[in-house]
Amino acid sequence: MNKQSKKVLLVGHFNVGKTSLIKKFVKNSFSEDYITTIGVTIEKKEIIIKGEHMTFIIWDIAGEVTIKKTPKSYLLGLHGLIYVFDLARESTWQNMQEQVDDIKEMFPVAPFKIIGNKKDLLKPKEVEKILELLPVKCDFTSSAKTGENVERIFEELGLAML
Amino acid sequence: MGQKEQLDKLRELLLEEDRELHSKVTENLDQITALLHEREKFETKVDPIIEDRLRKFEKDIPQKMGPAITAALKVQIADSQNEVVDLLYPIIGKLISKFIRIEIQRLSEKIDQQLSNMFSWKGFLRRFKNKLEGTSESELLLRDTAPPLLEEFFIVEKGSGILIDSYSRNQTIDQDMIAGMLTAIKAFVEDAFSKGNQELEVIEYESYKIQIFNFQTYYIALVISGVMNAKFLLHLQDSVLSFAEKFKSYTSNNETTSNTDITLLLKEFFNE
Repeated sequence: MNKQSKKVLLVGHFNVGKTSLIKKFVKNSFSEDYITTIGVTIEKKEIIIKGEHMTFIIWDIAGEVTIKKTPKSYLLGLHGLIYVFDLARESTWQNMQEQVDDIKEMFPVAPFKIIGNKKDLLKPKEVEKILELLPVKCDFTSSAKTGENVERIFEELGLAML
Repeated sequence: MGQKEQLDKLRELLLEEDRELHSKVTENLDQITALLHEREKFETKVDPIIEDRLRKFEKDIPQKMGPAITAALKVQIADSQNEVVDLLYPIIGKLISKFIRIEIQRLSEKIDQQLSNMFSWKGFLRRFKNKLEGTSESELLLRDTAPPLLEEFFIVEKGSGILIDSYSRNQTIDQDMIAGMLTAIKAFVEDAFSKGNQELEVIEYESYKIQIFNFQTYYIALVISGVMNAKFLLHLQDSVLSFAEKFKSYTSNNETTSNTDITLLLKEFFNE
């Protein structure tokens, strides 16, 4: 079986649940406490996609992360991106169009997914309404707390990176 | 004599020379054909000419082909700068500056050592003790310090921090994570403090040292325990550079190089 390692970066506003999504995916754990990431944390998870053994090396970068504010050296050699916003916090998705355009401009070929997190904080109808208001189509809605769609996000990204 | 006979006679007289010439030409042609079909005969005629031409060509190469070869090389180098740099880096790289630095460090260590031995009470006592025991001073000094030991070896892709391969005496924590974190630390230090194209080369913690050797597309990180002196560093540097040469030829000559091949190379390095 082939083995390949992929560097994946999570970007988005502070407190949208980037670290929680990673923790849920890697360790299947969730904490209600918000601990801001200092510097950068590297996490690793191995999964099998279409018979291919894939190792995700996930870079969780501190706090308020827009692609343009991210140190250039952290972006080198990345294979995939995940843009996370908080469904329950409008300010995190208001300027999403600009963010997505920046990502597409800087990484025209790297696969990336747009994730609306913290779905558990809203009622289904509220989620539907927010999805209609979004300036950019969201690939997945998720909840790091319940684990909804967390595995799927990484699997889909993995498929795109194959 | 009839008219026909007279005409034949005239033809014979007129064409006699031509006939002779024809038979001579045919004869020569047969000889040439034989020459062409018999290799040995042909070689005796042609070889001296070819040799002569080759000698002339050899003499003319710098003049006639030089500019064309230089131009082609320039294009080739420009088109594959990374490969060329990667190829030369292990050999030349920062060798000169590092060599000077290490030599100065060695000199400084030597002076420090001599001064401390010369003027300290400990030095006097040690020399006295050595004379009584009959052991050399260098042996005793070495016993006092922990000898350096190569613990771990990582080859990491620059930028992405993806681990190419690693080798460890004692498997500790996840090697992929170490490679990622090392790359992040390197990136942070280089972004925050670097002036120009400088790169992080050493991380020290207590009696451990992570020595980093930077190459064009990857870097090698060595975890060393114990006290490392300039002599050991120089030896390490030589070994890493020759490893890098082998590693480069592995990856460039064999497209299907597997991690097993590199691991074997690493094992060989550790056994050196």
